[in-house]
Amino acid sequence: MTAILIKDINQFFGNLVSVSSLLVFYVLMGLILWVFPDYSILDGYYSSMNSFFTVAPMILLFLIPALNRDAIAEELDTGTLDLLLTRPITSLQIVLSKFLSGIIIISIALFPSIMYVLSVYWLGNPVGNLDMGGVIGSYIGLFLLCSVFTSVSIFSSSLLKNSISSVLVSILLCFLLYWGLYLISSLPVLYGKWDYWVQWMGLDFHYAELGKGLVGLHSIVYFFSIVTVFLFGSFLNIERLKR
Amino acid sequence: MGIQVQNISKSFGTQTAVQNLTFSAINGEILGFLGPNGAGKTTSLRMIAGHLIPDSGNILYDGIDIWQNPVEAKQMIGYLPESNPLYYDLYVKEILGFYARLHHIPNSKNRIEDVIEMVGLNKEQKKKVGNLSKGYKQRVGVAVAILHDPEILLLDEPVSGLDPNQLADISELIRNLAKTKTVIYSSHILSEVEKTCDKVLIISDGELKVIDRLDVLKAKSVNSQIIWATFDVKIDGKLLRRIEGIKNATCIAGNTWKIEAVPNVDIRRNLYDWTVVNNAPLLESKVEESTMASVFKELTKE
Repeated sequence: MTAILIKDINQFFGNLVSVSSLLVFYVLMGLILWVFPDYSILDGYYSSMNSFFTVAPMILLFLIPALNRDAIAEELDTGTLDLLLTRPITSLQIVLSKFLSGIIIISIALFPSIMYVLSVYWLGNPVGNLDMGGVIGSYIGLFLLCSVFTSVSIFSSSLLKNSISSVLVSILLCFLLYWGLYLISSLPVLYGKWDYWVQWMGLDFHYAELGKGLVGLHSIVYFFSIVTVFLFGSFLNIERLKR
Repeated sequence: MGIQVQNISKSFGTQTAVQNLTFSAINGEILGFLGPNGAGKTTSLRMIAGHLIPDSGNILYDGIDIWQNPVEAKQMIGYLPESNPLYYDLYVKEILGFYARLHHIPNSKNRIEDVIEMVGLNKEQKKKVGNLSKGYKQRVGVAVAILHDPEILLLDEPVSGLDPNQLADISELIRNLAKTKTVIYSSHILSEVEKTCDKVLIISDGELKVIDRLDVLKAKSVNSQIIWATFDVKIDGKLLRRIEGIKNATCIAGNTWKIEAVPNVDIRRNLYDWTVVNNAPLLESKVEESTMASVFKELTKE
């Protein structure tokens, strides 16, 4: 597994397009959080990281599928996956390696955001006037959200040989899971009866709960279940190549 | 020691790609895997390499079933697919390093250096794989296949796209490797198969047609004797065709004739007697040997 991890991370940082995507992410986040007035942390009346944790999922919804576009799709297209299947490694190990490389890459992408936390911490009056419980909960939520988006991207990448189709399907699935269920819950047929439970099934609901600092077991189990479902789907897609 | 393929079959939908294929190959042997396009060669090799699961049958490497102990069995094989898939954005050493880690090769640096030397990649080792010529990419493919020193090598068209010098080098390398390994070698270049392989397997329409030693196979081939003869004088074709046992005689150029005998008849003595009686001295004569191409054609014709 480490062999694929090292190769994928090497390939990622050796690819100008991938590294550029990260740079665009950093610039975009910097502009939204520090320059544009609507979400600017500096224009807020409270020392809070809320604007970061509100904007981040919207950008990650596009960024993660783009970063993982070639995770399996390119290997399918070029035939290197066929060769990998003749090596002493199982399909499950291939999927887990791809998932872990995706997680490592997005963690590297999010790591500099710690600077935002430190900035708000030091800018607060008095210094340190920041709800650290909420920040830690939100980071846990963001990490779990990234795990789901990565597993969805790996799944699409294992389903389609074409990178662009893979990115589009990933974005659609991530959108449906994040906001789609919330939007569906407002349908008249569900409103007042099932709307709470339909919202409960969406990522947005659990992400918001974690953001309040409520790290509930049910939310953790929920995120892990979705990751497992999509990784299992990816595993089945690879196993199908042997048939 | 070696590989045993027992009754493997594979269908894709309603189309049968391989049917009840059974053969074995032992250590130190190069088995040529031949067949026309669409005969099921690549599907068979994919099953043997552990990429495709057969619908039925077993594949054993030194007695280890590939589908019961896949990880252990796959350590024993080196596979070079026909399309030679490689990571074009990696450097030669990076790609070899990746496969070395995948196979947990101890002292991988030394092994990578040795393999680079063996396949003749020294000059190109600092380039990205995507920037190499086709011949050198093929060498990288061979390097990837032999890196973990497998006991069984499956080479699907290993010399396609190589120039004559590269072809000679890679063939030599395969012959050297085969001294201690079992090699299954699929190729469309029959002359190369004749030079390289000890044994030949021919499949057609997914079925095994024959498997035998190359010399035995050639000897078994029922072919008409063909003699290429150049006479010192002009010859009347009608007279030549009257020789007993001759089926046909065609003038190729000047006084050179292609003389074909009826099946299973040796016409050399009759031809010699005829030249003496007709005062037609022979300057040159050559009996055409049964080639792999004629054996192949005979066994795979519709």
